[in-house]
Amino acid sequence: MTDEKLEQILRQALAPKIDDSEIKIDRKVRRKKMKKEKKNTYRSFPTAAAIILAVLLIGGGSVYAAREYFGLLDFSSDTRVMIPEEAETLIEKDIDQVIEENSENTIINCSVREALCDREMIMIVYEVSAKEQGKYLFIPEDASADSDMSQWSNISGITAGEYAKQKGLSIMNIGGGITNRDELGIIESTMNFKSVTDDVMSVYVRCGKESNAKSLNVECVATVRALEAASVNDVLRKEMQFTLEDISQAVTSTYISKVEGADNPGYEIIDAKIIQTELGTYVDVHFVCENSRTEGMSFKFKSKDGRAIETIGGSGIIYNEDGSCSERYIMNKIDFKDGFIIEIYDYHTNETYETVNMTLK
Amino acid sequence: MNINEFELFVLKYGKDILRFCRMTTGNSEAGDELYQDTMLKLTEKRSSLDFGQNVKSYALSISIYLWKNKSRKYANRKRLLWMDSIEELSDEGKEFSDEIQQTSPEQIILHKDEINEIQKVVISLPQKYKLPIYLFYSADMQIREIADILHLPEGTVKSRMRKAKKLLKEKLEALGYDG
Repeated sequence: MTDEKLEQILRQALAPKIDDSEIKIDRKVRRKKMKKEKKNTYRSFPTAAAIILAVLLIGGGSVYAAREYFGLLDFSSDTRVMIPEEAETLIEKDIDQVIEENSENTIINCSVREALCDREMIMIVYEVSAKEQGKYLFIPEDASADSDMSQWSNISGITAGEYAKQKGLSIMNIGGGITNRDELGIIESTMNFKSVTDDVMSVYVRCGKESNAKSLNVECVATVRALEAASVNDVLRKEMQFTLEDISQAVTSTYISKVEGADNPGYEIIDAKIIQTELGTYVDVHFVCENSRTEGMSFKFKSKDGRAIETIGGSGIIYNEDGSCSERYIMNKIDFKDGFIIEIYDYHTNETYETVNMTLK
Repeated sequence: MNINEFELFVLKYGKDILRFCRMTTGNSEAGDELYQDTMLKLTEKRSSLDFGQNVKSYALSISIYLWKNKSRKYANRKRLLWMDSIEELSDEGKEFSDEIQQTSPEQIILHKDEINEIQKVVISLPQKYKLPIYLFYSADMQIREIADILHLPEGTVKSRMRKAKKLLKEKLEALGYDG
């Protein structure tokens, strides 16, 4: 089957026609139903889950490894975003911050435990803890009662719902993030979660940013809501604000292209600007594309000896006013020395259009 | 966002969102319910939404969040055949018809039962692969928007879509559909 045929099939099968009458919103019926669904119900759990939890709790101690909190280095291995040793000095702890509640009866305390930034990226870890201990099980924002506890804790073989039922806890989803995204020019972000205890959670946020200010005002929020919350009004919020100084050193170099390969498929890489900090490597590929045919187009990176270089984030294609395009790629720190390779390829088909050798200008 | 703007939003994007809800849940009834729940939450937040922002992405994020929370309930309501394995289809002799109508070498027209079969194949994909597929094809979102909704780097979204299509191609070809 060709890729074009698969494309046709998927567009037909996954985008069937819908009548105008089908999109009408029936508010009264929905409100009644959502009120009914607000009741907490747990299905009966198999005996195996009860046995597993009993085994975990033998000895009367906590099932969690004893630690105060999870920091940026702890999240590093899970997220594939490495923090080099030379960047560890950039990590701020004991952060002066302003914490505000903007919901009544918020059940949580929170604080930013660690923060780190360079010219292009921000990483923070904030901690969310229950004011009243022993009542709640905190799970990540996108988790559910069916999610396995191993996704965010060192407890495995049991779901959040089973665990909470056995311990008589109410499940609460924890979320949040950085809120002044426009001010910081945040272009992409990821989050990760690790449980310190049932009701204490470390939340990791990493963002690529465009603001090059040396002193950053960072505003973030911790949110908590009951698993069965039916309304956005049930989301409780607590805000944290602090100032983060960029003490990193950035070195910029430019690489230009030398095209190898037969036909020009309509793409031309003009240059690649590399920004190196203690934390990572940021590559801005500047290119032109015939007739703006960027759909499906992406770049892979290799060292001069052909080893693949992994990317950990990026901006997506930006269309410049002069008709050229730019795309940002974020990598763990790597030294390109006097050159590297860019492969232009179609991410739908994985077909490589062109291989471009980049040399230091 | 005022009421008029919200109604315009529903007219413009309601079908994409409803389509996404139906595909994600696997049947029309559960999908319609998810759509109504999504729109109700959006209605509640209407006054704080800016019509100029990407409200469609926000709405799809709500759908995904609601669906993840309620996936147990929707699974119990599925009325379509739920495949444990693709081989079930082959064993039952439900191979794709030889009578696929081709109006031209470039265009394929699918019969209704073939559309159902293809949808089942997509449903059988792992969640992390089928969500980007549904957002791209059913909800007509771009890669950058999908990355924003799923809180993933763009590269990861592209990689998962490529993997999903590779799996789909293998499964469809195994069923005898060579296109």
